[in-house]
Amino acid sequence: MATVAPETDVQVHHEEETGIWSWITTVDHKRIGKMYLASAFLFFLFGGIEALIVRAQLAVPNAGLISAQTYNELFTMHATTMIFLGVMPLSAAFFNYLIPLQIGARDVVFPRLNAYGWWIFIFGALFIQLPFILNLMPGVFDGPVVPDGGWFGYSNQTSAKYSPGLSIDFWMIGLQIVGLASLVASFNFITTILNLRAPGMTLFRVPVFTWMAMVVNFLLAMSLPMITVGLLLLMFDRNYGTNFYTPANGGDPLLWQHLFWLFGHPEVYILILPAMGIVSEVLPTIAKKPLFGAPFVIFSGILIGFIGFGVWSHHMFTVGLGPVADAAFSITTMIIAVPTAVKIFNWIATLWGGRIQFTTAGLFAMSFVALFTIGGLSGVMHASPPVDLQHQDSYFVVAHFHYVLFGGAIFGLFSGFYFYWPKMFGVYLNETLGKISWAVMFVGMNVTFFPMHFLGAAGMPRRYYTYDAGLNWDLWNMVATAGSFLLAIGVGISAIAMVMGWLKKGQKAPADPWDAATLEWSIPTPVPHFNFQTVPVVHSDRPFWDEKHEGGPPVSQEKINTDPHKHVEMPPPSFWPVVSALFTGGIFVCFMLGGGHGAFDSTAFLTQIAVQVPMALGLLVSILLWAKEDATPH
Amino acid sequence: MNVRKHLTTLAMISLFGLTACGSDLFPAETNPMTTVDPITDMGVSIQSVYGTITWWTIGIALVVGAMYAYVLVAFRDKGQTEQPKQIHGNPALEIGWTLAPVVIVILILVPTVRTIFVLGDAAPDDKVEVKVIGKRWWWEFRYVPDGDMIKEELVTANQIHIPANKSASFLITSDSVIHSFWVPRLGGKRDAVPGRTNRLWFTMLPDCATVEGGVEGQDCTSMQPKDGEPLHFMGECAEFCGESHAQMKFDVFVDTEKDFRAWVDGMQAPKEASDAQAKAGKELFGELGCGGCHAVTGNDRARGILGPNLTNFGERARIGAGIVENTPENLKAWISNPDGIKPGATMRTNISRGPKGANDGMNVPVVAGLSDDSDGDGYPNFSDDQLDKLVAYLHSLK
Repeated sequence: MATVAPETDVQVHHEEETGIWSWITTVDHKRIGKMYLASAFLFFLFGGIEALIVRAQLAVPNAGLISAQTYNELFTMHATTMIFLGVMPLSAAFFNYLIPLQIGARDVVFPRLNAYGWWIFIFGALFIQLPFILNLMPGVFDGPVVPDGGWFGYSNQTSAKYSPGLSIDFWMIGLQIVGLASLVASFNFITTILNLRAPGMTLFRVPVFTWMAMVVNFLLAMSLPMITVGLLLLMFDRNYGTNFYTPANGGDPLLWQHLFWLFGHPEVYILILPAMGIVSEVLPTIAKKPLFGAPFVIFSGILIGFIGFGVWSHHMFTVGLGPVADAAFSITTMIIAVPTAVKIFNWIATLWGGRIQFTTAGLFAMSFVALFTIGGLSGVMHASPPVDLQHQDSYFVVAHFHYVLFGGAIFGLFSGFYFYWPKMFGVYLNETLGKISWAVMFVGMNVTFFPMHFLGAAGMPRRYYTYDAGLNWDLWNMVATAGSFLLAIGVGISAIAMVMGWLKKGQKAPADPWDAATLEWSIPTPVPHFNFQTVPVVHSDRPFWDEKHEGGPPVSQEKINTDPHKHVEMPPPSFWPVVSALFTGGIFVCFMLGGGHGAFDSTAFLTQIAVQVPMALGLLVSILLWAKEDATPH
Repeated sequence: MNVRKHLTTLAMISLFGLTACGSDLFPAETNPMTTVDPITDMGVSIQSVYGTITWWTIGIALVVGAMYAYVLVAFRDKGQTEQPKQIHGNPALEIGWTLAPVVIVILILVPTVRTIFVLGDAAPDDKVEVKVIGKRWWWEFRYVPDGDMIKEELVTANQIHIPANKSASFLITSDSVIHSFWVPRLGGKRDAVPGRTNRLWFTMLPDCATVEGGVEGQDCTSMQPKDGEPLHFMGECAEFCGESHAQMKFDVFVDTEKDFRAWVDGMQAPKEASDAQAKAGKELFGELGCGGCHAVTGNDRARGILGPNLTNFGERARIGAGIVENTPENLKAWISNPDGIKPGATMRTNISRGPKGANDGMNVPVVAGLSDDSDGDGYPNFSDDQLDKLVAYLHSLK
């Protein structure tokens, strides 16, 4: 490796590059993390607006605000957006930004693949949302264009016979595209965590957030193929007249349910484990203590990941799999409650004896523990098949998973926003706005979702666009709707704080604002392009804390970096990821052309192939040029 | 602020707890669809597990919540300067709180698994057996002949009668997409999956002591039908099935043995329309081709299978699959504008679109000259006189 005599201060090298082109060609994990953050947060707000319209329609019985069709489109898109375009990429934002910083790396293993992943994600995400724009052109398309089969897309409701039109096509092809984005990202993060740890950072010295990220990315790598297979079979049924899910021709709609939930249940942990990781970083920091029983917390996360693959049929207790299957899946599901409970106890024990700082990040993290506990306990209730016969597809289930996913995942992610923003942007998020936002969200969340337990007990099924008066559903629906608007106000206040923070308006933050323990806080803010000028040697699971408070060996840059002018070589920007991603997305979009509406249509198929082949050649060429590109760090 | 937060949490948790006293908090009198006030053996067995688990979860929530609230208050930053003691863990404690949930889970699993197998038992022989077929978006019910009272298959739609003195067994399937058959007060739901048949059966409560999870001496027979006063329950579709998923309900009447026999007899030998208006309506019903989709036992010109069977339609409580009450006004509105009342209802499109229409390919032409189609939608614009006659006929069927 040639050493170049540096003439300038390398601290500012690459940092000065601004402008749209520098963002399009960036391969810097920190910028890609911010791109995930911004795009996913916008989708999160969009999914929230969809939920508000749904709640407005349900505020009173027999409301006529929107039609049944529009309602079905909105609840489908609410869940699809929140899960695939909101919570998952928000988690990816933290993975991208934090994993290299937490393990003392200068980037991920495959920086260009990382950029490719984001471009595929945004391509697929916009493709899924495109129908809302097409919907503004009435009469152009035959039948609905906005996906309307639910995020679960149960066969055979999604068949060409029962869902004519393009709505399901947009959904099934868009999900394949965003699935690919998560898949390439998962390989990148797994290899990064396993290979790029700083010297001395054994696996049990890896911070808990990064540990949870590793579990999540293994889950992604192993569960996404299941839904991809399911979606491919669906695409063959709809486009080319196969009969995988058509009972009249020997297919089985339950095949979809198995494939979908084999993905869908690990997906639940894909959504919640990153938030658990964030909370496991925030709680020790605000309590000024180490995480209580970190190995137990880590092993619990791993165990949840493993057992998560063996519980999928608890979504299918009403389909008639028989008592043996129901009992088996009930047992595995309840076993998962054990590692989950261990985590909750360890978080509480972490706070025990601490000196708890009530920062906004802390408030969100502490609420996470309370709300997630409620959601977890109601989950144990319908893990019992007999009880589930009364719970399944009722509002009780809606209450349950919103406690887990809003009170859990979203509160955890918001905790992460307030906690990591000073490192990411150099300014604090406004703590006053933050605390108001937390209070409004906390009240709004409970007022929205708690009454749904009552609606479920009173027998209200999910996915009903309207309901009659006189069933005792009126009051709690009205309360839930009022709560949802309160919740939206709370989210809006945080959104304002985040816009201010993005524009760097606010109190300037030091490198280590919270007196935290891990490596990411030991480097300067703003974080240099290369993160660590000198890679530290790690001697414990809290290297920075030990340096500051226990007289441990130094890891912070000003202590170990003896040559501030040392040149650090970083991979150059590249536009091949975005070009390859465009061709990749294009290949999938071509499937829209081949649709035979439940039968094989040779003309449509040849049209599809005629456009797809050039796309594939384009992808091949761009990948070859990507491979030949001089990417040696300079 | 934080104390208040956790008081709120505790209050919420206690509210949550109250749901366990199901039948007290969600009594059937005010909650017709209540899931926690069952009146069948199946429902009571479910309720028993439901109650056990609910109390466990509330107990855990209260203990953990109280502990958590204490921690947040007691260990808040009081401005002290010394660093808290750096405790990394305590294996004994951690093994302890790993084993505690294991024990609780086992305690919950025992009644759960036992009840799963009880609910999976075969139905007794003395039963009324009904095939349930989920349609888009209504229910067809076919009573299986029992060689005694029910001579040949009885077909009806959106309304079931079952006797209180026998078990009721449902063979549930679908001819279209997946639906789910759910009468909350009679027990749990079962999915109607095309290509499969699921079974669900229950007995109206004769004696609590004989029911898994039932309590000896508990009064399970407080609700019994009387002659002429059947019990009425509402059912609904619980699996998303497309546009009118929310409009796919049905009525269940639990009759006395005598009433049920009378109902079966009435279905097997329906009375003929007697008054002039009803007879004119029957004529019109035939001429307009209504019978191409709808069957009416005893009417030779009504043998269709695409739409709901209308035999003894006059005794149905509601129309359009449980959407509106079966009054003359509602029926006229329904006949005039079915998909205006129920989104996606195919009565209009099956007539106007023909074989390639949204449904299963039966073409029902409008008879030329009999009806006005000035709006050109292919569906008749019925005159008031026609509506009066049709309603008179349909309401005479009972």
